[in-house]
Formats: sequence, structure tokens, C-alpha cells
Amino acid sequence: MSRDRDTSVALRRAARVARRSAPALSRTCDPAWRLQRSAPVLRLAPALAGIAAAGCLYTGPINDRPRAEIEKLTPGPYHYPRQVLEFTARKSSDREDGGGISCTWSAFTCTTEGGAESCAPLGESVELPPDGVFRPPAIPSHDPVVVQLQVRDRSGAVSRDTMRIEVGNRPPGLQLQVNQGAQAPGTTESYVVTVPIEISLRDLVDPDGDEVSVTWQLADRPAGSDPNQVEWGPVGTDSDTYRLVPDAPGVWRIEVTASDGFEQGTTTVTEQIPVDEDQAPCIALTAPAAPAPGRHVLSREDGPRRFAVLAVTDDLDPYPRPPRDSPYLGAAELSWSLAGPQTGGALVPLAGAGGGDVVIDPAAHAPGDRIELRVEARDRVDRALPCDPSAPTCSIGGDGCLQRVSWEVEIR
Amino acid sequence: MSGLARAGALALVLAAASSCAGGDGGDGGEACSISLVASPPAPVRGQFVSVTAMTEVVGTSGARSYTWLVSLAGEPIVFEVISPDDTISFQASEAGVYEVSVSGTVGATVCSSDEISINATVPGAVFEDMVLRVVPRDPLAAPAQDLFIEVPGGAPYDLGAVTLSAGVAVDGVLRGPGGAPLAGYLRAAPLALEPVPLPPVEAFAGADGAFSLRLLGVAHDLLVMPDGGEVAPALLAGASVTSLDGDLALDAGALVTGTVTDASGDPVAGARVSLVAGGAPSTLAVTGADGSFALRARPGGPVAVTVAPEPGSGLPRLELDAGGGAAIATGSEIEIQYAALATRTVSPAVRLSDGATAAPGARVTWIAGPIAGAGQIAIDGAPRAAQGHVRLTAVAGAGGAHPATPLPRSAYHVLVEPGPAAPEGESVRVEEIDLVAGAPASLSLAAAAELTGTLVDDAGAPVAAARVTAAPLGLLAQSTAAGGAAISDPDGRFALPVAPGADYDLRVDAAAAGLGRMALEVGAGGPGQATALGEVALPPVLRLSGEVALPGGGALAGASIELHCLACGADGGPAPVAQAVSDAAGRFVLLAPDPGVSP
Repeated sequence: MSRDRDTSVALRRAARVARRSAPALSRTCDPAWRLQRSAPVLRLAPALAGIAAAGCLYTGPINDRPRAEIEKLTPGPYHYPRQVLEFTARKSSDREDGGGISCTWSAFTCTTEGGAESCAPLGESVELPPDGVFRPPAIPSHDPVVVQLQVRDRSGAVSRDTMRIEVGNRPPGLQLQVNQGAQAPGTTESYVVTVPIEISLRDLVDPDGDEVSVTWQLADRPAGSDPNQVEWGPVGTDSDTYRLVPDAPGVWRIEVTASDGFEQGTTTVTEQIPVDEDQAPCIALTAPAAPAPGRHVLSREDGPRRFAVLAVTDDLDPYPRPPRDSPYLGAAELSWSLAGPQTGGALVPLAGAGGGDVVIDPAAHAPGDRIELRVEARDRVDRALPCDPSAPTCSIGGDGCLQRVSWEVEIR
Repeated sequence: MSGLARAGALALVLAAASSCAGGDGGDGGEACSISLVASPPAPVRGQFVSVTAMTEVVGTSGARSYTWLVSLAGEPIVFEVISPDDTISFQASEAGVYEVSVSGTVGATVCSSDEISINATVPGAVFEDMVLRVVPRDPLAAPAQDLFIEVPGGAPYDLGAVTLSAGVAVDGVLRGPGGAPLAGYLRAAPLALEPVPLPPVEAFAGADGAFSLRLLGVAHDLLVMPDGGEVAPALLAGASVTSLDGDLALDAGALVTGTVTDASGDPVAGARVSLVAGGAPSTLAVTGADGSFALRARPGGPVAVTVAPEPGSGLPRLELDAGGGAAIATGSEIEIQYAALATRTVSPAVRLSDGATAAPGARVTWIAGPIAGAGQIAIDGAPRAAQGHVRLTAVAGAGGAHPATPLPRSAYHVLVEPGPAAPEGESVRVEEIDLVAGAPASLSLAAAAELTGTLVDDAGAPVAAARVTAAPLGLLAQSTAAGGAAISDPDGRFALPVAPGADYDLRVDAAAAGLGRMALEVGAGGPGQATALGEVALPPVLRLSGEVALPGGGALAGASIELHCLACGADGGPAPVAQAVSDAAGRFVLLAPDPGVSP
């Protein structure tokens, strides 16, 4: 191959490169151009193209520019702060000339202010082989990230590619936990009026690491509620927990909104809190069984007999009270009264008989004496029993849940 | 009546380790189940424990894989899987209840899982005998029954599965003379269940006479009290349970007649007369205007007689004990005659503790006896002296006036109790009054005394929200107004208003504070005085857990579980010390007194 021919070929190549350069440059997106303004090395490309086009100084074969192509390895079109992206230049090459190329990677974060975008380096530039994986630092914010690849062949020809990564926003996540004191799980599916309910934030997290603000709202109250009777506010200085003291049964609605301040960065969680009236306690098990269809007989020879309430069921206050780590709040109160010859036949309270049992000693009586022993159960809510005082049993609900039972006892 | 064995009560099955079987995981006959075996089954703190999964496989094969979990008080415990992986080992570095669970697969078949509780005890733990009483909510599902257990001190303890004895169903029809259905009351008392006697099992036969009982498989004393007074009650002493099933036919019993007269031979009307013959009560008779009565009783003896005259008659209650060896039969006659007893009519003014203000509604109970020679009771012509007793309550009227009441002249204990409208701070006064000397012009209530103290735990910290009650002992035990109750404040302090000058069984229930119960005997000071009990230390407790199951294996939910000590009562006898109700799975947790650890 003669030199002239070589020169001719080189010129043709230079011209071809020059033609290629323009579309190559125009192919790069605008941020690349802006990057070039702040990155002097990038100005070499048009300069080299101009020199090649002139051809007057060139005596050897014209070197083809290598091909620079960024390939994003991290899948998905959407990316978010904290994410570490991966790129490779394995599709870059210097096919016309063969030989090795070196790839220099840079990453930038770009902010727009007053309509102008400015970019700052994101980490250090690194040089990697073409099949190396470029991992710039994790995306620091919601600002776009521009990744730039500069490929240089052995002859010093350089190509560049840039890729702009738009960074999205994910809303914060949160959950609410509703707790009424130590309410028994499974005992009731609702909460109890006038007993404080605590609503706590659980797992409040912004996946992008953004600062999150939380607003609480008592969004809805039952129709029978009086706003002046409702306690609603944060517990102490802890804004992660709010206390609601419902004054009326019904469905209460709490809305908690968490926002990171960015577009589509708001999450609202609504908690429906069903509130029931406090359930009246039920005397569930006694010894002897009560009420009974007849009189229990105590023989004076048999000695004292214990009359006991062995179990009271209740949504909050059962009896006996389970150990402290149980989910119940308290214990039902039992009040005893007795009518017999020693009371002149009147039903009188038994002072000091606040526990679960009362003992009757038939030896202190004569055969034929009749005694009525009565026990009433109540929980934290003061309720008037809707029954005649002389009624041996009483049920607020008119069902099998008894708050009053009596034993009719005959001494023999 | 003497002791039959405790077999019925001991028929419960106590397993040191509970086992819960899950379903098989395979279809079409493929199944495998895992059961766990611990070694040693009852380790001492510090020992290494190995647990092996014993896998039974039917119709499947393949690689076996296990997933283990070991925890203590809900916290996971580190364990080592020993090759092959059907065995693990861990160190019981702390005493307590270790929960071990395993699930597994054989090939593609999921096996039923298993879990056990392993009790690691404290070296030197003191073992205390206690009684666990289980009362099912449905008395026809299983009878109430006791389990004698040993509780080691120093650490939580799990009793494992407690399977109740099914007992024996007794269904029958109560029939009277001629086979007619008879309504009535039945009470079956199991025999020889010392030291904590089980309460009797009761049933009521309706108009059709039908009754149902479920009893332990031991002998019982069955008392049958027919309604109506036409048929004498009966006592089937020491009856075997099987003998009680079916019809229970009673004849009318022996007809016994008699009269009650005063010292002048005049009839005493309105007196209640009853017998106890051979341990069985009679029907209750009330004398007519002519003093006569007729009752039904089971023939035989010995016979005790009680005559309770109407209040206001001025006559004492007559008691003839069963010591005379007398017996009755159909046609027996009982002549009852009061001795000439001088009476005195009392009508004191009843006042508040200030001695001046009237106390309307106050109750005054006159208690005297025994009064020797108060009367004579002749059974079929054989007279014996009867003792007299008086127990009479009068209620003061509007002006605090005690109704004029004749009483035999004797020495009396007099309880003066505040009425429902009495001011706070008024309490019971006990007076000793000899009506031989004269009648009191007035009686007054007493200013309440106070029992004060501070509840502390075994570390000396105050115990709040504990219920403290004072139950009067002795004479005041029959008073409805003498006791007191209070809840300890946040500093553990309590103050109980009680009747002055009496002894009390002070009971503390500190379940609200996660502690147990205790009882001690204390004495109250005089009227208006406070007795400082100082620090009342609650004993340390341990968690005693378990699981109750019906004989068929189903969980026994809602059952009452009571723990009784054998010697911790105020009188040195048994006493209930903890109480719980089983949950839906039959599980229960008691806060039991900690027997402790020997030094």
C-alpha cells in the first residue's frame, strides 16, 4: 500500500470519523454536553475530529475512534435513593483497529436550580477493563444521576457515552398497632369504651431514607360521641404513640399520614377501631352450682361449708385474676350479702367478704333455719342491676350471663 | 363411713411432659408422627439435656428433616444438633421450664409436630406436697377432683398434662312410696379424701324424679332429701357408685309423733322439731296449737333431737345429742318438756358508739348455752335431759328501741351490729351480759378498730393493689358486720376497719401484683384503736403451669383450678393458696407459694 493511497484512505477515514463524530456527539444527550463544559477532557473529541478532517499533519493510518456504550446491569427502569447501580462497558470496542481499550467511568448527581442544571461528581472516577462492573456510590438523593463512560484506545482516540438515570421516590411505609391496656387477645374483637386505647407507629420507614413527617388525625367518631369527652393526643412527648379514650361505642377511625415531602411520597394508613360497651361480667362457675332449682341442705353434723365463686368471665376483668403477664386488665369484684335468722331476715352485706368465697357454719343454726347467700359480680363499670332486690338472680342482658346468683340454704 | 382409698382422687394421670399430637401430613395412607423423648427427663440446673425425635413413618420414605425450637420463659435457647439430626442437646443453665418443639418431614411428607416441657429444677429444691383441685365447668363432664402433687421450690414448674378421671355417671329416678316420682335434693359426699375434703356433689330431682350425677369412682355417702315432708330423708352411707345408678326408691320412713310442752305442761306451739337418726335427718315438723307434732324419719339410731321454739317464746332451743343409744321405729313417740326456766325480758336502748345517739336498725344477737337441764326429752318413754341454747336476733326499731324480748336467765354473749343506716366508723360490739343479774338498759355499738400494715414482697418492695380481707374468728365469725376489706395503696399500705377486740384471719390476695396469697391470724385492738401490723411480707411465688384434659383427650376449658397447701392455713391446716381458670386449650398458670431451696 503506497503512502498516497494510505494518505487518501486516512483522509477518507478522517472524514468518515468527522461525519460520525457529529451524530455521535448529537446522540449524547444534553447533560453530556453540559458535562463537557465542566470536564475538559471531553473537549478532545471534536478537536481530534477537526485535526483528522484537516489531514494535513497526518502521515500514518488514521485511527478509528473506539466505540463507547454504557450497559446498565441493574435491572428495572426505576431506581431510587440508596440503590447501588451497576454498569459495564462490555459492549464498547475498538473493532476497526482491534487492540485494547481503557474505560474510565464517572458518575454525577445533577440538580436543577433556576432552570439550570449543575452536576457534581458522585464518587471518584475509576478505570476498569471493558468487562469490569462499575458501581458508583449508592444513589444519594432523588436528583438524577448521570453516568459517563470514556473509552480510549491505544492510539489515544476517545469515545464517550453517557446515561442519565432518573431517580424516583418511594413513599414511606408504616403500620399501626392498636392496644387497649393489656386486652385479652381472642376475648373480644373490639375495644371497650372509656378504657384508653393506645395507637402506636410500627415499622415507620422510608425506603429511600428520606426524613418523614407524621400527622395524626382522629378522622371519624361514632354519632353518639361528644368531642369534649374524648381524650385524643400524643402520649407524653412520644409522638409515635397516641392515646384515644373513646366515650361512645361505635367505629372510630384514625388516620395517620406519613410523608417524605417528595412527589408521590405520602402514605396514609387508616385504622378502624371498633369500640363496644364494656361487657358485664358473668358469674360462670360456682361451688355449689348456682343458681340451683332448689335449696341446698347443710347438715349441722357436716361442719362449715364453703360457698365460692370459682370463675367470672369478663372482657377485661375476669375472676380470678390471671398472673400479671396475662392480657387482662383487672379482676371482677365480688360482693356478698346474707339473709338469715342472724340478720333478722334482712339481706345485709357481709363485711370483709370481698374474696371469692364465704363459709357458712351450720352449727350456729337450728334445723329448719333458712339462709339466703347472695353474691354479685361487677367490673370496672358501675352498673345498676335491673332486677328487683328480692330476685335471687339477675342478668343485665337478660341472658345466661348472670351478675347475681344466690344460694338458698336450709339447715338440717 | 371409714376411709376408702383415695383411688378416685388419684385416678388422674400426671405426665411430666405434655405431648400434643398434630395431624398427619400425608395423603393416601402416608403419615409420620414425631414424639419427643428427653434425657434426663427431669434435669437439675446446669445439666445437659438431650432430646430425641422418635419418628413413626407409615407409607412414606425419604430424607428426614427436623426443625427444632428450644425456649425458656419465651426466650430462645441455644442448642446443638447432634448427628444424625434427630437429637439435640442443650444445657439447662437456668432452672425453669424448657419448651422444646420439633417439626419435621420425611421425604415430601410433613410429620405431625410434637412439643414437650422439661422441668429443670434447682439443686436442693424443697419439694412440698400440695393438692390441685380441678372443678370442671360442666359437672356432668367430669366430677370435681383432687390431684396430689409435689411442687419443687426455686423455679417455675410445669405439671404437664393432667387428664381428669371421667368418674361414673349416675342417672336415676327418685321414687317415693308406690313408685311415684319424687322431687328432692341429693348430696353425694365422697369418702376419705383427706386432708382437703372434696365438696359434695349435689343434684336436684325434678317433679319427674330424674336426677343426674357424675361421681368419682369411690364410695359416697348419699343424702336424699325428698321435697314435701311426706317421705323421710335417707342416708346411703358408704354406697358404691354403681349401686346408685338407676331408680332410687324410698319408703315413707317411720312415722314418729310427740308433743312439746312447757314446764307447766302447756303446749308449745310453733316449735320446729327434727331428729337425726342413724346420721339421716328426719322431716321437719312444726308443733300445732296443741303442741303435737308428727314427722318421718328412718328407723334406727342413735337419735338426736332438736327443738327450736319460736323467737320470742322465751324458751331456749333444746338439744338432745345422740349419745343415749336410743332408736326409733314406726310408731315411736317423743315427749318433750321444758324445765321451768326463769326468764327476763330485755328491751335495751340500742345506741351508737357514742352511747347517746339512737341506732335504729342495729341488730342485737343474744347467744347463750349450753344451759344444763333446760328440758327433758323422752323417746318411747325413756327420758333424757336436754341442753338449752339461745341464739336470737332482734332488730332495733326506729328510735333504737330493742323489741321487748323474753329470754331465759343465763349468761349471754351479745353481739351488737350496726344496721344498714349506721354511720361509717360504727362497728360490732361484743358484750357479756348475765341476765340472772339483770337486764341492760342500753347497748351500744363500738367504734371500729383498725388493722393497718404495709404489704411487701420478699425483697421488701411495697405491694400495691392487693386485696386484704379480715375474716373474724370465734364468736364474731357469725357476724355479718365484723370483717373488713381494703386494697393496698401504691406504697403497699392498707387499713382495715374491723370490730374491736377480736381475732381475725387476715388474708391477702396479691394476684394483681403478680404475687400469691397468704393468710395469718391477727388480733385487733380496742374500740377506735389502730393496730399496726408493720410489714406483712408476702411469700415468694413460682409459676406452676399445666394443662387439664378430659378423659377423651379434649382440652378442659373454663375449669376452676385451685391449689391447696396442706398446712399453711391460719389454723395450721390446709388452705387454698392459688386459683386459676383453664383457657381454651386447657392451660392454666398458678402463682404458687415457693417451697424454696434448702441452703
